[in-house]
Amino acid sequence: MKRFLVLLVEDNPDHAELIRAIVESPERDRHVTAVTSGEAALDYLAAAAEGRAEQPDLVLLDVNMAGINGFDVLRRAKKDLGLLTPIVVLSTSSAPVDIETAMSANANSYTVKSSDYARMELDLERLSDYWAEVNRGPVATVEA
Amino acid sequence: MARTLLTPLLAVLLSALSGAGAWGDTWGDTWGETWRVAYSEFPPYTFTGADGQPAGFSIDLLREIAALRGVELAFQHTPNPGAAIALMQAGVVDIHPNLSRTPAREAVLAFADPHSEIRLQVFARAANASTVGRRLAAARAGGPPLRIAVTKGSIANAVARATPWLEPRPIATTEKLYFALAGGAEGAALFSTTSLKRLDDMLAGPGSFAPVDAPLRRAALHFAVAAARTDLVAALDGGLRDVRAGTAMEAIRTRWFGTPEAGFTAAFVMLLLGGVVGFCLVIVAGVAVVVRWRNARILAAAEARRQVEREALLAELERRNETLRAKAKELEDLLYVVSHDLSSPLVSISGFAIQAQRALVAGKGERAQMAFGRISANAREMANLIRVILELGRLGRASVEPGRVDLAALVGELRRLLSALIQERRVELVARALPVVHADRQLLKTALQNLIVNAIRHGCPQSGMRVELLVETGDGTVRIGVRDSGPGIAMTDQARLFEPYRRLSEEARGQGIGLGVVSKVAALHDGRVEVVSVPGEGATFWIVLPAGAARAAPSSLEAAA
Repeated sequence: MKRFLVLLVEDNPDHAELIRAIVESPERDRHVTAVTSGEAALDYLAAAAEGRAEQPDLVLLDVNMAGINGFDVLRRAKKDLGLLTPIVVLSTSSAPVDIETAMSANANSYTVKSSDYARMELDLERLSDYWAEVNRGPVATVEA
Repeated sequence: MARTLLTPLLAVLLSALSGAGAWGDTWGDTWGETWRVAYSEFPPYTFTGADGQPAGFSIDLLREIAALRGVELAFQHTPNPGAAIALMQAGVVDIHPNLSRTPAREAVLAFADPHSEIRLQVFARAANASTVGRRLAAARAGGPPLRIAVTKGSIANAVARATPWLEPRPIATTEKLYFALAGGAEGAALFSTTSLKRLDDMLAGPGSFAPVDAPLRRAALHFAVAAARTDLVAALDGGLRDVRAGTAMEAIRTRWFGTPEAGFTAAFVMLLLGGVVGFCLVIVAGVAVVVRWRNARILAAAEARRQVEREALLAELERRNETLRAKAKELEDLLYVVSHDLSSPLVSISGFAIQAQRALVAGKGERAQMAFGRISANAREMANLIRVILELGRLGRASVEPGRVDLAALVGELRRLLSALIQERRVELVARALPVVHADRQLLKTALQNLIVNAIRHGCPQSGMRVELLVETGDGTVRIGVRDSGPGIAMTDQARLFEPYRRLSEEARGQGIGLGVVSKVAALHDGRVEVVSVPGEGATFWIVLPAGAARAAPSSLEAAA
């Protein structure tokens, strides 16, 4: 089993806690590092690129944030910084315009936070499984 | 014209007659005589000329006859024909030339009869004039008499006496006679040519009737003579015949009526008619053109009016469409906000509910308690959001219920309501010397809550930053401010901040609905919202209320949180 690190970018503490509860699974070596703003996310990613922080295997990115929002984080990470780390957008919005914006900013996936928690659990578990076990990421991962 | 006037004149010229065979014997006896003539003013036949001597057509005729007979004429002027007749009856004058058809002339006629004859013609309709002519000739030769219509009265009697080969059929009025003739009820009618012209004019126009014969050559009356002067009657009759046969008549006619121009009548009439018709046509055409032009102008004006109305309607329609589009856009934005902002706490509630459930099952009471707390907080936030959304919808027609609002107490409430956010962000909410203001408590709370939440979320990117509540009075206003020391707001975004449900540039997303509410709340208090911000130096949002709506009063002090 590989160590799988998720960078969670979420400014709503409740959401952050709920997502962490689903995604984080120490027994499966899945870990979450949470930041609460877009600025913090970019700082972390920059640091990781320089080796000053652990490289995440996946970024779970909320869109609706104060300051630099999710779309900006996407654009800067993908285009400006040229990061290859997969970024999955997590949003309460299912508006086509938001999905388009995210995809055109090179999001790797777009998911909607379900207000049915059971559904959200299922979605996030499958999402984690996929990105942790099915997807072959560009980042060299260390065997646990 | 002259000719048509002359013809009846000739037709009614009188020659004297006294019994069928009583004349002619006195021929030649007239030399050296003097005929005494009474005349009155009746131009152009009889009148007093410029030289004081009698003149006129009848007078000239008399003079011609007198010259032929070698008699002298002695003229006597009378004021009227009646006076002339009286003179004749008194034996003072021998002759009175009278050619007019007046009551006076009727009197002359009665007086002169049976000494007079009438020069009339038989007319038939042009179509059967030749048939009538043949029958007339046959009647003269001893055949059956020709039925011929005349008007009732002395003329018919005279005709009957003088023309045994005709069968005069008197008809009451001239008009009836005309129609009897025109309708073919009578083969022919006996007329003077003047009457015939009237007939022609009245019926189908000139030429409808053709002259067939001149049965009576001697005209009635008009040179009246005393019955006693049978010699004079014979002389006048003979003289008249000679005048008619000679060239003197032409000279007289020319003197009084001018030289007839060749083809004058028909050509001139045609020309005149043509001219008149042409003129009328031009007038009619002109009128038609004017009418059409006016109609066209009226139509054009009406069309222009309709066009203006159409454009006004289209503009109105476009305006309403614009309003509807704006409403639709607002609704769409509201849906967006609802999907975003409302589902966010719902996600939390749903999540913590299951977590609480699991915690209870696992016997982790503390953990469950925490989850329930979060559920409550999110439910409150959601309720608040719903209230705000509904309020936004209602704000347009909402009525403000102002009252005393203790700002300090209100901020205390908000502090509790927002405690989770404040703790999470580790923000300091600072409020000093908050007064009592006069406003709608619920609306003001909503507005302040939105401003504080925005200040924390957008104005405090790092922990430990402060959000400050300020109140300023003066200039008839109460200003309630919420200040942060965050990144500030770009000038380009400031103007659009207060649009409800707006989608700002993505940096500002999330503030929209809140600031829209703040703006509406202020507007409902006849106030406004201002933002003072320099990028990099934070932002202060002011709710500016008129002092009448929000009178500041001293209140408790609220220490820094």
